[in-house]
Amino acid sequence: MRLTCGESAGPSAALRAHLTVCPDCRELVESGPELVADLRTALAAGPLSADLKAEIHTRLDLTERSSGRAWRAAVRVIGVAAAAGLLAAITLPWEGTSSGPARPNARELNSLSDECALALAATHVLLAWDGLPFDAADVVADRIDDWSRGVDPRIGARSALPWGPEDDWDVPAPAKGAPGARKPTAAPAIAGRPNAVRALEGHAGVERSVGIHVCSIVAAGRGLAVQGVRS
Amino acid sequence: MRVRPGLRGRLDAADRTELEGWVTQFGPRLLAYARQLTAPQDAEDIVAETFCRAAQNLAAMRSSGRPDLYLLTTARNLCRDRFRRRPAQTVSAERIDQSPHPGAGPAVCAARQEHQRALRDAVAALPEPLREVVVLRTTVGLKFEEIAGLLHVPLGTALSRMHTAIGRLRQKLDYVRES
Repeated sequence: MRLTCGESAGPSAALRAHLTVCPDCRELVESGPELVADLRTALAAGPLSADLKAEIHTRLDLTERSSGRAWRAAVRVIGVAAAAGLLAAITLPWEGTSSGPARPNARELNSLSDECALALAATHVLLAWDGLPFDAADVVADRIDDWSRGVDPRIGARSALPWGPEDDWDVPAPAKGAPGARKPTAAPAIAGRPNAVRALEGHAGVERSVGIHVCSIVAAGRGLAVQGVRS
Repeated sequence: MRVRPGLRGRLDAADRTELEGWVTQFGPRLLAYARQLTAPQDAEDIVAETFCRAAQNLAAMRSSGRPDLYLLTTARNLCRDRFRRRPAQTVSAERIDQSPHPGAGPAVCAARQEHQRALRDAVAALPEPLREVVVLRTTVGLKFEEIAGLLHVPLGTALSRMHTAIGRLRQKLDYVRES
């Protein structure tokens, strides 16, 4: 993706090898930059209009800088509001299922739990391998949220990883001794990546309960019933 | 709320000069971004309000070291506030920018405009998270690491959203050409 968007000078050796056998990716790499350039032109706003500049100047004339004391006063107000909200959340009965998005059935949630567990395991290993300072549960929860909103349908597929295969080319090699970098438990399998999902199925079993927990959190956050999730 | 004397201060000439520099430098990119997140009639108001907020918080903006990211974050929050108040708004694909292409004939201009309109339609049809990444990368010019930071998502999510968006756009544009 970085290559398509002009962030990378050229394909890596691994990518070049992949492009020789994958026509879809080859087409993406060849035609992607043109599409990105067209988007840049099509979405550009051009210079600000004189009317808008005048409007900004007028507002700036009326604007005053806030002082530190005013800022602290705002923080106090927000603090009181937050405390009131917390108190209400504790004292009022929780009714999370009466509104919100349509409730998926138990089969959907069970299926999501499987994928979630697998995705969490894969993410956990990939993050460790790449030395990235993200929490695997956050990554998976974010991707499931994308999936639930229809942003990224791939996460619902058995073969889906939290990163798409295209991103493998972009992830830099972990810096030696970098903070947070750990030796991954499945490094040889991940280094190859093509069969990463299969290689990680063993890890999915270990991480399964955590995955279900994340799924439950996401479902609860969306106001869904979580009774259908397999325990 | 009444403002007590001494708590606030007017912008001085140096502040104004600095702010106007930012308006010139970042204004068009902010406008392009706001147009993708909110209704066209609101986008200009969002941009003006963003600079207004920046003026009120100059110290924080300067200390951030990245005024462009500070402005984008402010604009994003303002857009979201507006969505909360008026969630039914849809983003129109019709845009104001229809600048002529110097040296191109009328037929070429018309074809380019048609292609750009198709692109804008296709982008407008994307879900907001995808649309946001597309405009931040292509028009605003942020790197994926910066996009991830701005949106508070992991780097892989930003990359993946862009990949999904590009895939959908290619599919849609092929459909447009065939039809």
